[in-house]
Amino acid sequence: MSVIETNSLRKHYGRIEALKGVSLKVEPGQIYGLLGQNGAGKSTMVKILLGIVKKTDGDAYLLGEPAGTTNVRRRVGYLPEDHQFPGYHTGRSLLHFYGELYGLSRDERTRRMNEALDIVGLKKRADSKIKTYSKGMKQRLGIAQSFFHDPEVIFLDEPTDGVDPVGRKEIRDLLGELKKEGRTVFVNSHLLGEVEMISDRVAIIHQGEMVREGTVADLTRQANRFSIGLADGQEFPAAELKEKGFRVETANGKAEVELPDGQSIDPVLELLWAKGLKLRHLVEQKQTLESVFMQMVDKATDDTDRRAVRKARPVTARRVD
Amino acid sequence: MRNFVAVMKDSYREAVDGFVIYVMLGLAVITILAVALISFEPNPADKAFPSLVSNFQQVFRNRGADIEEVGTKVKIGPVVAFTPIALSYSAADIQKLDSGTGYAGKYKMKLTVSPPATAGGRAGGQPRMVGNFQDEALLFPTVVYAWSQPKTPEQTVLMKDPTGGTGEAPPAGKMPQIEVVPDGTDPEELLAKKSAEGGRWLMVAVPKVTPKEAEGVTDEMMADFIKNQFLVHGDIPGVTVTRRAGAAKPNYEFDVEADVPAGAKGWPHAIKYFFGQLTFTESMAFGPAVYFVQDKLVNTIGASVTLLVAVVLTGFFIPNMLRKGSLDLLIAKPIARWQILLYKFVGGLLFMLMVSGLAVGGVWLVMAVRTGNWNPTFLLSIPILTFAFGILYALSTLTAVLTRSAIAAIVVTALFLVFMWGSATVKLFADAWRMAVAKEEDKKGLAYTIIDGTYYALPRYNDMLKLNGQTMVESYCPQSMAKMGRRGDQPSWGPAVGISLAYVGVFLSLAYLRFTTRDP
Repeated sequence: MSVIETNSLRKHYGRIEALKGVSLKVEPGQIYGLLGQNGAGKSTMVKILLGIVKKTDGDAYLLGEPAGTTNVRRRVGYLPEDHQFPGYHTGRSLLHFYGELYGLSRDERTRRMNEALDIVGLKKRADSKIKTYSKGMKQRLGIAQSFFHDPEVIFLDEPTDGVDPVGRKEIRDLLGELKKEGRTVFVNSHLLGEVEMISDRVAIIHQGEMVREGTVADLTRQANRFSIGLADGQEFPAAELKEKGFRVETANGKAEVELPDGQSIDPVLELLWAKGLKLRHLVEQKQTLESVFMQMVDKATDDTDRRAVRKARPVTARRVD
Repeated sequence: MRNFVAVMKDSYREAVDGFVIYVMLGLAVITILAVALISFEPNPADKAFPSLVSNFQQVFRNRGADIEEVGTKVKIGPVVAFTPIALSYSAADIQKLDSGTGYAGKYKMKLTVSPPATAGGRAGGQPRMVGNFQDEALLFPTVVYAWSQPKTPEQTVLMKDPTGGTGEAPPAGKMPQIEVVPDGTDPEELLAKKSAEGGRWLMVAVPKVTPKEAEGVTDEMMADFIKNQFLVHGDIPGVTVTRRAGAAKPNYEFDVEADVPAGAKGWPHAIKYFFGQLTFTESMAFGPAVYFVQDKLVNTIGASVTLLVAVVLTGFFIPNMLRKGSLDLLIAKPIARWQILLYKFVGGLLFMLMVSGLAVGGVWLVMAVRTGNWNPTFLLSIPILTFAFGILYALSTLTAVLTRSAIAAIVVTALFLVFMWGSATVKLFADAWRMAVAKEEDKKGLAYTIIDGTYYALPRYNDMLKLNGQTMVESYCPQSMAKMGRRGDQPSWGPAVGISLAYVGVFLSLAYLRFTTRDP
């Protein structure tokens, strides 16, 4: 059973269509990354799943139940983007407050919050007022409050915002730990490198539409493009392969071979074998998630509107006598 | 329940986070200390009894049970209690019969009732009251007869101002010139006619007691009357009265034995301040003095300031919760939206409960310690003030949900408070005016309809404070003051609480509808 499932999910804010029929499934124990530009609909998606905003149409299920019910919210954790904790709380009192809302006993709250604050490195400042925290500290407290009550699913909206590189690494490690414990983590982010490093599956959402979805490996694989290296002193048979319809580029002792559509790498390997050449390097080429994302976004934008290009205004000079 | 407790704790943290709450609590403590410096020193008996019996001029009909407005036809203004004839009551030869300490104990004295020393009236030359008899010896029996009756017919009389408008008393024993207005005659026309003839004439309403009825008053009735006056004005129940024979006409003399209980509400006290260094008054009935401090200083002035400050301070609570990034965190928790809104509202009330609890509870405690009066009625002010604040806070909540602006919530609520106060004040003046005018048709009209309609359509914030004050009067003061307080149209708890509660319900329901149907 999927932990999260949406079918043709739509959301309108007046005339603005924030989600245009998004369907996705997230399986248990995954780290699922939802990518998109600002305003793409990522946060709206999460808010519908948590019952914070109401869907216009379609279906959304969380942990097998209709999304947004009080009972379901008890089993999930959430860190919103641009969150603002009440400044009159200390880190500890805030977790006590939220823990009570989750129905945890005092002993349970105390034990879990100590663990969580320790994990996010806030134990020493736990009794300071939140209004004295830095942005990074608030972010870490936000992450602590999202998982300290032992949820099955954790939604994190831009979890590394305002966190320094060391802190980001810690957060990535923490998410890995949470995954190991069998929790499902749903991450919204526009920091593609972060998502690429931690996510099992990724969806790209653009202007309210799902444009790509799959494992990180699937998305970043560059189909039909291989890097091939031979033993020292051997020359790559580029001309013969070009005659057979392959595109070949050589540089730095390696050859980049692009297969024609429908063709496999086997004919290339057979040719090398027949010519007695010794293979030392064979790698299917990949792209970064960022380049995939940019391609997807550009393609989607091409289909719709083009981003306005700002040009300098012409200046006319007039002679003043 | 766990959610409720959690939100209450959160509200408490929010309330005590700023410095303003500490300023308010500090002011409450200062008020308590200021009240603690007030001392109440009982007057000695030879001063207290003459002061007490001087109040006997004020008489309540139906053997002291009724309050009745008489003289509504009097142009000079409403007569608020039944004061048929301004006789003079004096106490002399006062002796304490037991050796107990303090003013409580048994006393005996001679009580003399004599005709008015000044047949005219009080300062300003307005006659306060007149009798309809020229025989001075029948004045006291007339009063006693009127006192004993559930309802005495009235008659309108014209009286020539005995002072001639100077305000000075006429010679002793000289009764003013009286002209009884015959049935079927328009008193206004007769007044105009007499005034044209010369002199200053006034129109008053007086009890219609015939000489025969007055002559029928027995010594027992007179004794009962005096006993009842001690109870009504002094809160002294154990009194025996025997008429003395041989008093010179037109006076009446009585032997009185009074068993004064400790804490008698009508016993005069000297009210002093700062360890007796400053004297407010040398003689004031104990109950009204306590009432004045608690109701007027704390409930009226203190409450108004507290309500206004509380409106400002709590005006930030809901908008802060509704801030972007703050609300999402809360809504994502397993708590229903109606719970968030309702509990947050109750949390705001908690703030008022804390402040009023400290101020009222503290004042009550120090007053109880200082006076020995542990009557808990004043503590009723705590829930009443909290409830009155609840009306305002419900509106503040609605405004905050609609606008998400603390400034809007504060301004709208403060304006509503001022509007309610203004409506109540205008109604007060309108009611007083209606009591003063004679003709029924003068008591109606569009202006009155608007004033009454506005007042009755608004939450009964003022009624609740008025009822609270009246409850305190009845609890702390002698019956005479309590009866006086009940004159005129009295609000009742049912509509006062019910309509206010309806407003709270409507405000919160609208806020809930908006809160649950709008995406944050």
